Amino acid sequence: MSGVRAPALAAGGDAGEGEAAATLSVGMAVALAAIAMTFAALLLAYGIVRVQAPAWPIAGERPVPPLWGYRLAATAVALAGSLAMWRAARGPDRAAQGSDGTTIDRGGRHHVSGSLLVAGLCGAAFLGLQVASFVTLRGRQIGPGAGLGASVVYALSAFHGVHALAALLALAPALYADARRRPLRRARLRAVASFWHLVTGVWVVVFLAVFVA
Amino acid sequence: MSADLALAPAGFWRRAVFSTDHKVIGRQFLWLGLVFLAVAGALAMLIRWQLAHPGIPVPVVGGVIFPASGGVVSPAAYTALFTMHGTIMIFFALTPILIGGFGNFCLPLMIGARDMAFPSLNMLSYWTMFAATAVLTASFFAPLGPPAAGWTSYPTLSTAVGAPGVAQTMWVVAIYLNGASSVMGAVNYITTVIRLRAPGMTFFRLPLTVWGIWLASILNALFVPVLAAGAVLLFFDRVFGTRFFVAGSAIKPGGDPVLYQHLFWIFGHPEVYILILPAWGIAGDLLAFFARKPAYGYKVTVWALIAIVVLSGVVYGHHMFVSGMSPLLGEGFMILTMIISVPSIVLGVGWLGTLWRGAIRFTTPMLFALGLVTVFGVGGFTGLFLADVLSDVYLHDTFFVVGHFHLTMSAAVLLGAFAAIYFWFPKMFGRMLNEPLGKLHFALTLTTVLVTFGLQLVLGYAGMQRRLADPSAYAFLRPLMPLNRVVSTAAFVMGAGQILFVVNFFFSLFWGPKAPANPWEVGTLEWTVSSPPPHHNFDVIPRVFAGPHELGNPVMKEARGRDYQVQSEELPG
Repeated sequence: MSGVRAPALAAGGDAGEGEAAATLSVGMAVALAAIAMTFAALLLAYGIVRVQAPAWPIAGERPVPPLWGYRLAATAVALAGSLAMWRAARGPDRAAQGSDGTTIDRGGRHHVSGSLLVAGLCGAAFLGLQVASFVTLRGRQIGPGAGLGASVVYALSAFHGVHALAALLALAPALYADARRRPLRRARLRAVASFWHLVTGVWVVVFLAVFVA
Repeated sequence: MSADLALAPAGFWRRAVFSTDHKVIGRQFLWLGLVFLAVAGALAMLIRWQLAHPGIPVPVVGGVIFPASGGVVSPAAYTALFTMHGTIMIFFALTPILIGGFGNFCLPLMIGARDMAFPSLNMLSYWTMFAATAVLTASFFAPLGPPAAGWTSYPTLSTAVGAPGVAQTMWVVAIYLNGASSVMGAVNYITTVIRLRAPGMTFFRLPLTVWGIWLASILNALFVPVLAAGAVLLFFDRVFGTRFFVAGSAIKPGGDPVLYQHLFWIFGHPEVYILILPAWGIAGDLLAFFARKPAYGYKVTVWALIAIVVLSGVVYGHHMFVSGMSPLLGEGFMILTMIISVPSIVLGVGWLGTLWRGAIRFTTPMLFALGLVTVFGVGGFTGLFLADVLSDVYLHDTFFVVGHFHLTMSAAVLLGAFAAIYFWFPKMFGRMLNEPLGKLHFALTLTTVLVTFGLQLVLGYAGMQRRLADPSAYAFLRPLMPLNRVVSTAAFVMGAGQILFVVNFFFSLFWGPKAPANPWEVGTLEWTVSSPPPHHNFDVIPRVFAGPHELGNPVMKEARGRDYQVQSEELPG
């Protein structure tokens, strides 16, 4: 049997680092498509509810205050976090890369460390603002069951918040490696960044569709 | 080679329980699916007992299962029975066996890869499914009884008002976890096929089994999240008191129960194809293998499968013709649904063309593949009546629907699963199943499937609604009771017939003859390695030169003394 000599068993096959990075990119694209579909379906549900309602807020329901301060601040830190992740994932220029080109070692560290830290802080701030908005709404006696408008705000914000928390947790290993001055895997950083961008993008759509529209 | 073997985990837990090896995970999914197949099958027997002998205690086990009612299946218990039967069969038996079990086991071997693209994610997928089964199993013992809102769990039945207690919430959690597991699997399968195919394994050299699983994975990745969205909103309604699916009233505004139906069926119709696509792929391969001919119209078949995948996403509305849908919209969904029959017929023509003038070997896997084609053919034709608005309005919510979907997405898929088990058992476990016992199992299963579900079509056409705990309570349904008893008898024989399979499975697992590397004499890559395959699958990643069905070639016969070409060998001369 003719064939190609394979190296030792690697993660899923015989790929080198570059090949593994490309494989991770494809996997990440599929995963992000699936997550995007979940939010698309939730927004579709909101759209149907909204179109069917004779008026919005629905007559007889107590209107949900938009809490512009929280919402605008949350949107701003989400965008800032995504920008920081973009900078971190873009990494240092070629001269500062690790010797194999797939990792970021000490030479390029200063460029990435700051961005990672900013992204982490923005993610934490976003979650804090969302929790604060829930507490404020509850303080005004508007719970998830107050009406359809409140249902939309709570369900979409909370489900999105769970994904924002997941994005923050996904960043944690990179922050840890950075703190321990270990090399950072460029491909993994890019994968985490793409998840961050999706979560930010979804929030912008939620912000525009639920709070602005 | 030695470096590869050294990477095979030595400890029991990493080797057999928390393994990242796709073959081990495939076997884990298979075991899980078979256990739940038995559970769901047992629930079906109880359902059929009630429909044949309403009000009479279930023999032997009735007193243990239903002590409060003296062994009789109460209406509440009946509702829970069909809910759990449907839920388990679809989400926890057929899906894990075909996609989880054979998808995992076969896919890397058939494309010439050493493992999945993301082995750890693969392991997480299995254990997430395991957690889902644990939650669903626990819901059987919930304080107010098991979930009882049907496998579709429509509001208002599934809201906190319609289904008080924790059981329905557990159902929602189990479905969400099940979906998360499916999506993880889909990410792996899609990526593995795109990225890890062996050199020379072009898309049009992939076995049809791989096509079926890959396309089903694309549907999984895109549409299971829609069900997840419905589950999330239902969870919020039940736990946090939101009002998405709680209908409003004149004095209190509210949501829309029909909204859930949209979310459910946007997922639900592709789910039919998620289940049947792997079975179609398997049938396509097996018919060619055992007719000793290349698959007729391989490329056309692949394009037909792709067309079905695309169309499956835009036809869901035919499940909701009676939900108050606009007639114009209904007409649109009707036409789109009818169009799906075109590529479906193309598949059928391909299968028949493959058999035409073939040197057919009637092995057990081949028989089950032929059974799948037969059953799906009958079930598929009955689907036309449900795709048409006028006939659907009459037939909706009758046993005609029950018979139709059992033929198409249950029995056909089950026969596909059996075909897969009989075919790949030697590769999975290194031993051969008993052929005569397998053929007897096939004969009993196919006959009883056709009688059981065929007569359900008749019952439905005669006007018997589904989900009635006691049809004999209605004067107009009383004349149908003898037919109900025939259906139940056939179902009981079907259930008893599966004992043959269980005996064959376990006996062969321990005492069956040792399987050679290629017992079926076919050319796909999994049969080029030992049975069972080594941890690393291939000593050398193969280079692929041929398609999957190079059979009956006289050049090979003359040069090599056999009628098939292995995908990784060049044609002599």
